[in-house]
Amino acid sequence: MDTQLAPVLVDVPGGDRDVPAKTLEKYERLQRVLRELESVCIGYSGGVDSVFLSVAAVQTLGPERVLAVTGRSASVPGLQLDTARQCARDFGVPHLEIDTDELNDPNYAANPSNRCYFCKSELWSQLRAVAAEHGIAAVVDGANADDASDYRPGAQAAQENRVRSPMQEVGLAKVEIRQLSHMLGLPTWDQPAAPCLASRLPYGLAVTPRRLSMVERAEANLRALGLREFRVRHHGDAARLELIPQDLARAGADAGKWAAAVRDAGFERVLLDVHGYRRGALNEVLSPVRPGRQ
Amino acid sequence: MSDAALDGARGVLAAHGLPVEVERAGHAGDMLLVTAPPERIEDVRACAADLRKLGFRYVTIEIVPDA
Repeated sequence: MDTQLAPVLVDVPGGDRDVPAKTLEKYERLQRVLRELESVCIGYSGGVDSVFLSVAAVQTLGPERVLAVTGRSASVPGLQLDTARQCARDFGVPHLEIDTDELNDPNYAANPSNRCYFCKSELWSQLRAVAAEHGIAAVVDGANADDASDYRPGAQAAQENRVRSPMQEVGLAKVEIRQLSHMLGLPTWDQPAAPCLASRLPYGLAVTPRRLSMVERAEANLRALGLREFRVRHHGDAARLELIPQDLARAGADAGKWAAAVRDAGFERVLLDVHGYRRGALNEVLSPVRPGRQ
Repeated sequence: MSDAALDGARGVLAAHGLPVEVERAGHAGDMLLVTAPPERIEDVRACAADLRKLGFRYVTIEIVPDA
C-alpha cells in the first residue's frame, strides 16, 4: 500500500499568493474562539480540516492544552491513520488513538441513511470521556462552514455531545482552510477528501469488516496505478468505479489494469460509472430527511 | 424496476448508434450495466440523461477481464 495520499488538483483562489485578508481575519477569530475554550480535545481524523484545526490549536494554546484523538476501526483507512500520525509528529500535536466499536452497533452496521449518526455518537461519547479524564475543557470537531449545507447526520451526534465546531463558528470554508493550511506549511493542504470507508457502501448494504477491507484494498491498488481522486463503490459482488473526467478519458487504454486491480480486492465484477466521481454520490438517493435515530 | 425500463434503455442506446445489451445490476437493482467496450464510454455517457429518466440511478459499463 502506498504511504501517502496523492495531492489533488484543487482550485484555491490565490494559489501561492497571499491569503486574503478576510480569511486571515477568520483565522484570528478562530484563535480567539480557541483561547476562550482554554483547552481542547479534537476529533482528529488526519484529514484537511482536523489537521489544520489541531495545528492552529497548538500554535494558539500550546501543546499542553491540546489533545488530538483519532478513532480507529475497520471503517478508517490505514492510509488516513498514517497521515494523522505523521502530521501529529511533524507539527508537535499531542496525539492519542482510541479504538471505536461502531461496527458492533447493529444500528450502524445495518447502514441506514443516518449511519454517521451512530458512528459519531460512539466517537464523541468516547472523546468526552477522554477529555474529562485529561481535564480538558472542550471537545471540538473540524466541521467547516461548507458542511452546514450538506447532509450530515453526524452533526446531530456532535450537538448531543456538546461538541463545538470552531471553524464553522467563524465561517471558515474549505477553500480557506486549504489556503491557511498552505500558509502554515501543512502537507494536507491539497489532500483530497477522505471520508470513511463505509461511505463507499450504498445505504442498506450492511457494513462489514470484509466489505470495508475490499474497498480499502481496491482503492490502494488503484492509487498505486496513479489514480488520484476517485471512489470504489461497493455494490455487493460488483464494484462501481467513479473517476474524475481526465482519468475517465483514459478508460480505453487503462480500464483493463484498473479492473485487475479491483478484482484483486475480491470483487467479481468491475463497473465503470459513466458519470464519474462526485462527492456524496450515495446521498443522491436521499430525499431531505431529518437526521436522528430511526 | 420493470423490464420495460431495460427495453427503453436498449432503445435509447440504439438510437445513439449503440445496439448493445443491457442488464440491471447492483445491490438495489438501480444500476444499469451497458455491455460496451471502455472506448465507447463517451457514447454511453451521451445517453446517460435519457437512461436516468427511465429510473436508473447509475449508468455503467462493465470492464471485462480481457478489456
